[in-house]
Amino acid sequence: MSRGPLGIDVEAAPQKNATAPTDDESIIWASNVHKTYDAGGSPVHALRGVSLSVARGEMVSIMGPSGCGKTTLLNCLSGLETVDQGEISIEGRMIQGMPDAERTDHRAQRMGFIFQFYNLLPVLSAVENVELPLLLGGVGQGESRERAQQALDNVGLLDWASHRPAQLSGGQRQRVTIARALVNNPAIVWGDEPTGDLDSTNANQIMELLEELNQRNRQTFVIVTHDEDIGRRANRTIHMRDGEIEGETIHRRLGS
Amino acid sequence: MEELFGLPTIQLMWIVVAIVGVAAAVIGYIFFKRPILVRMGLRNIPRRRAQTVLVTMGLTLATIIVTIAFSTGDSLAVSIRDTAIDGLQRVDHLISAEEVAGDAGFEQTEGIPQQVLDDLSAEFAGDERVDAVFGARFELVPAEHPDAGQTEPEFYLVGLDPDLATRIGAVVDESGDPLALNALAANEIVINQRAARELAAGPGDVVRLYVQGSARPFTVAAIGNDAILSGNVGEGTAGGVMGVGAFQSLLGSELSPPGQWSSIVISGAGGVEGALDVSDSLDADISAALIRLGQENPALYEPNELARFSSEPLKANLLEDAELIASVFTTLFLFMGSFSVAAGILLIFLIFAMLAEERKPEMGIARAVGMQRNDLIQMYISEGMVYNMGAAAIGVVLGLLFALGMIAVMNEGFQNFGFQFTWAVTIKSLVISAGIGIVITFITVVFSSFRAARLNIVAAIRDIPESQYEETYALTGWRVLRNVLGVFTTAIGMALLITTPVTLILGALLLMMDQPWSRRLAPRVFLLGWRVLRWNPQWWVLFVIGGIYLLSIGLQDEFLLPYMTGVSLIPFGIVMGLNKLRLGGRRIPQRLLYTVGTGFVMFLWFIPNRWHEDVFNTTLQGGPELFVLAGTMLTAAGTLLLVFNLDIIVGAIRAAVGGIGRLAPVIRTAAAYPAAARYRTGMTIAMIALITFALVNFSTINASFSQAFAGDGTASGFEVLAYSTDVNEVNDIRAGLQQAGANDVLADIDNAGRLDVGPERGTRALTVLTEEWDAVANALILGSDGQPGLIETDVATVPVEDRGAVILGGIDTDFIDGQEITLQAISHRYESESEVWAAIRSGEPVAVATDDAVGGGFAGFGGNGLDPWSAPESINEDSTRLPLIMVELGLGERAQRVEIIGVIDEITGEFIDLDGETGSLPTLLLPIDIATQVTGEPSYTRHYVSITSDADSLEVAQGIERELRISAVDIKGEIERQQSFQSSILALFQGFIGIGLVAGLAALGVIALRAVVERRQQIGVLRAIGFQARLVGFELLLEMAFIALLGLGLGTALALGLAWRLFAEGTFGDISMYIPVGTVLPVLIGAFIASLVLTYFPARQAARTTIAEALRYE
Ligand SMILES: Nc1ncnc2c1ncn2[C@@H]1O[C@H](COP(=O)(O)OP(=O)(O)O)[C@@H](O)[C@H]1O
Ligand SMILES: [Mg+2]
Repeated sequence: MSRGPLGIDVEAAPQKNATAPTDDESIIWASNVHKTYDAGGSPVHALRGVSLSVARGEMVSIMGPSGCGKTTLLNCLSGLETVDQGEISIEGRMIQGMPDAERTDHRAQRMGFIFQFYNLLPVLSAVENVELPLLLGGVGQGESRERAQQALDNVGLLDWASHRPAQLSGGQRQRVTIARALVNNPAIVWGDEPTGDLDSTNANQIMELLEELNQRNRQTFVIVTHDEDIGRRANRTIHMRDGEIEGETIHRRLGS
Repeated sequence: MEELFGLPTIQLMWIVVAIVGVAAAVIGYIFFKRPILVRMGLRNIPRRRAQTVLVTMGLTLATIIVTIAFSTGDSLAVSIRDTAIDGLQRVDHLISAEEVAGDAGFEQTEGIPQQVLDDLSAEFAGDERVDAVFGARFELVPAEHPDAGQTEPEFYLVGLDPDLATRIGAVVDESGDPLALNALAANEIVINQRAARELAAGPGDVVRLYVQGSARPFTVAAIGNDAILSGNVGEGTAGGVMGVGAFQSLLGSELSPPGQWSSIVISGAGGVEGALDVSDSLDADISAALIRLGQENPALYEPNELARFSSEPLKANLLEDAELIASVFTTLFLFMGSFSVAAGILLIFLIFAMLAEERKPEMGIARAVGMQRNDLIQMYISEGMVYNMGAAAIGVVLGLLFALGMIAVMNEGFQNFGFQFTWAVTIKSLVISAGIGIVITFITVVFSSFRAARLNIVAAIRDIPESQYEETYALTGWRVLRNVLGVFTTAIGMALLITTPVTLILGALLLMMDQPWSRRLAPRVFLLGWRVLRWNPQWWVLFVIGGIYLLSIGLQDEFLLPYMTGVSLIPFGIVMGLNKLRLGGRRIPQRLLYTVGTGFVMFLWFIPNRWHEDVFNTTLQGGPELFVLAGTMLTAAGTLLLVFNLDIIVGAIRAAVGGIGRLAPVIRTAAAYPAAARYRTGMTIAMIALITFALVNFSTINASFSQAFAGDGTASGFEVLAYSTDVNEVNDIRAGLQQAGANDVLADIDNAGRLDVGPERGTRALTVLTEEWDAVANALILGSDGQPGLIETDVATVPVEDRGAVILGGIDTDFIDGQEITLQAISHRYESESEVWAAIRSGEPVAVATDDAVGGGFAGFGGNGLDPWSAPESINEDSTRLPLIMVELGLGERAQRVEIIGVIDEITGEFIDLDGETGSLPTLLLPIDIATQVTGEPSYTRHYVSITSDADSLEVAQGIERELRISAVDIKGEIERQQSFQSSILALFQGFIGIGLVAGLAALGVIALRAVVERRQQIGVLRAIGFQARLVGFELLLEMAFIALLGLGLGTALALGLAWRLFAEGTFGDISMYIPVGTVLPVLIGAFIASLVLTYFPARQAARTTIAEALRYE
């Protein structure tokens, strides 16, 4: 496959529909998802029939103008939010209609999250933040601590383990978040503008880290961004507009 | 109420009104000068309803407490006053005879000769202050109402001159109309309301009065209002009144010699309350007349060189007592309520801090675009003052309602004692209550506003913690000097401001003398001080300087309150100062500073007072106000200690709950949040701890007292106490019962001891021979003759009035065998208590005395200036050995020398103390024959009865009353009644103190609500990474429970610690500490549960947070 100087997959023109690959490899699969908000009486159609599928180990970025429904889509896919219509399957389990408690457990065991802000509890140290998902999953204190430190080591922050978030820089904080998102070996990591609050140097470093982890662990990454440079680093970019998928760009095929 | 803290309440009212005026002026100033700020402030009030309610609640507390205190005081004053006036009617002054017995000079007398009445009548015949001078006779005569089958052995019969009594309306009926005693037939009687109740008798019924075993029937002519002249001679006794002729013929000349009166009554002119104003001058004149008459006729008035008759302004005294009791109660309530007031103040601080936090970004921007800090302060003040005014109004109403409830509870408790309170409040009290409420909250609001307005603009706009911008500085001489100057000028300014009326009047005078500068002096000085201080306000300087100042005042006045305040403030100030200090660019670790500082303050409070005294080589005195101070200082220190070591506690908890598994992350976060938010955690802990402290400390001390005095050991070994008088003499209870054929009652009696009580007004006694205390201390210093060194008094040289008065109780062998009295000290010449009792049993001239002879500097029966009771320093309070103490009892031929060989324990001797709790005369128990030798015939006899194990004490008492017609008290039942009375009063006070818990609980609610708002995003993240919804709610609940437990635990620990110190130090004498777990624990658990219920709602709100929305919005 050939790439242009900027890494854009020039051959693959945007397609009208990002249809689901029908093979069993698709870890995320959504069909005709609708979501409407009631914003003070007038309904806002945040998602108008979105269908997509993501393969296991794929790194997908979702891009589009502000307000087009990216965050909503991510939240719906990850089960943070319920959908009005449509079906979503994660690792073969249909999550719409699943009770909240079950969805929560599902997230705890199989997913990791990276948001733009407020990722960490300010009252806990870095390592304590990282080990939360493990403790939640019932892993013993000793083992949790070990694995959390390992995860911090992976993102290069072992020395900062006992610092509180307020004592860390923005980039460091996002790395701690990444460590937390990955500490329990989730199948899918969701990122909503994970670099949105960072300068470009830091943003690039974070993305490099994510890419590296994606390659090393074969975990699935779905990352919302409005930054072209960030979006390009994924295997594939899904373009959204007005609550619909406009098309997608494949930058490099999975496994290539 | 006329006085409080020795200050006339009317003056208090004007002071309060003046301060409220200043507050109003401040608001008025802001309002007219900067109406925009007021509008900005007020805008917030309707915006946040819940907050408005909470702020108002906190502000209301102070007003509620003060209102309750004053209204209760008013109610007490009015009730006691009404009762006193109702019970005295026309009796204004009372002249009674001192019963000096055992003197060879004249026979023991029971009354006042007619001559004295004639003399006094003549003396005040033309006096327009006086309506009547007349004699009254009192006698205890058992009564029976055979038709109803009711008997009343304790029935006081009064005999009055019927014409005179009718003329002045001495006896009135239930509706207050005077009864015509002169219309009574010879076989008619007026009985009082109490008697009507006890005997179930009404007009027309025939009652029988028993005199020396024979009964005389009398027809009830009318029911008289319960009053002294209708036979209600104190604690609600039954009785009746008749003409003195009928009285005389009933009792006969032996029991009631003709021409003798029990008392002489002087009725003032102008009706029941008419003569109160002239009471003082009349009292002086009566006393002067008695002295003059004494000089003219010493044989009648001053035999033995002692005045035989004394006069008392009874009504005026009782009304004075009413005032005193009312102000004591108000003070007590204010002391106990001050904990709640303090908690309310803390709540306001907390809420304002929260308000400031919430509005920080907004305020930061306002500051950035040019709003002055002063403007912010004014804005907060105007907002606060609106809450304040509303709160004062609500507080007064709630306080009055609470007081109403408390009076109802008190009436419940007093029911057994036949006393009822009426709820009352004066306008003056209302003004003071509302005013004090406004003043306290105004000051709080102003302080809170200052704190709230202190924000770092950058930190505020970026909404990051202020602490990152916390200032520290290097200590320079100039900085210290400036602060010291600031403190002093502010102090002067404050002083001038507080005395504003004075300053203003002075200013006005000077102005009239053309001195305009004076007008501006006060505000100028104040402002100057304020400016200098505000430049860089350093409270710690104020703490240290103020502390040193208070300490020196305390040492100078030997007064603990300022001393302990100073001694506690200084370490706080030093810690606060050091906290700001940089040493070589580094700050001293806060944990170290605060742990050491607060630990030291706590140490100061937990060491015995003696250590403080020893350090400064002085003595220090204090009263109940110290509890308030101790509570405040200990709570402050304890809270800081906890707050700065929370992470250690949290670590310990984590280590402890490590194994809980899936709850571990919840517990971890629940402990981490309070540890991170020190200010609000500390404030909330402090509020809860303050109230808990007051509650536990008060309950413990109170319960220890009631445990000691109403416990099973206080009955002295007897269950029933019967009284026989010469009107119905019973020498031997068992013989009497046998005679009456009451074998069922007899069978219930195990033992009946006899105690002959000498004349009530005392027998004169004198120490004649004493071994000095050193004899005991130094294991007997023997003189050259091998005898302990004795000090002998030349009895003849001691004038009669220098001899001390005592009451003698002659006891028989049955009494000695049945008693279970503990002796707290015995003579060093006896080995054990049983040896002491054996010595008395054998009839030797020895005695045991009550401990009121020991304490309070009673000078060993007076006379020789020798004080055998005041032990030298080498003997401490625990000494249980007495030196040889010889006293001479009685005068002249009757005199006997007796050795005191034991001191009766205050608690187990309670029912033996013949002078009662409040009396000041010591009681001596000695062999009955020796007592008779000294006093002649006893004035009455007490029978102490112990019953068999399966008998009922009440039944035995009633049996004795029924069969022998003498009054009998069920001691056991009495103790139980007292216990239940005490526990209802305890519950009342607990409830009153507990009002403050509302503040603590509200604080928990406030911080929980705030947490839900503040942590929205964090909750969203937690939910996203897998916290179940209910775990989020549970976490918050756990967090608040943690804080509540810390507060409750801290308060309890400090209270018990202080109580332990006080008991160990011997502050409460022999009483040992008793923790009323049964009453305290339910309250604490209740408070804990209430805190959970209160946080349940915020917790549920937290659990319901929708993740996507939480993450989306700022
Ligand atoms: N809770 C909500 N209530 C009402 N409207 C919402 C809500 N959440 C999102 N929206 C609206 O849905 C649309 C999509 O929002 P979002 O998914 O956040 O867009 P993006 O992340 O692409 O900027 C927007 O128009 C937004 O205003
Ligand atoms: Mg978005």
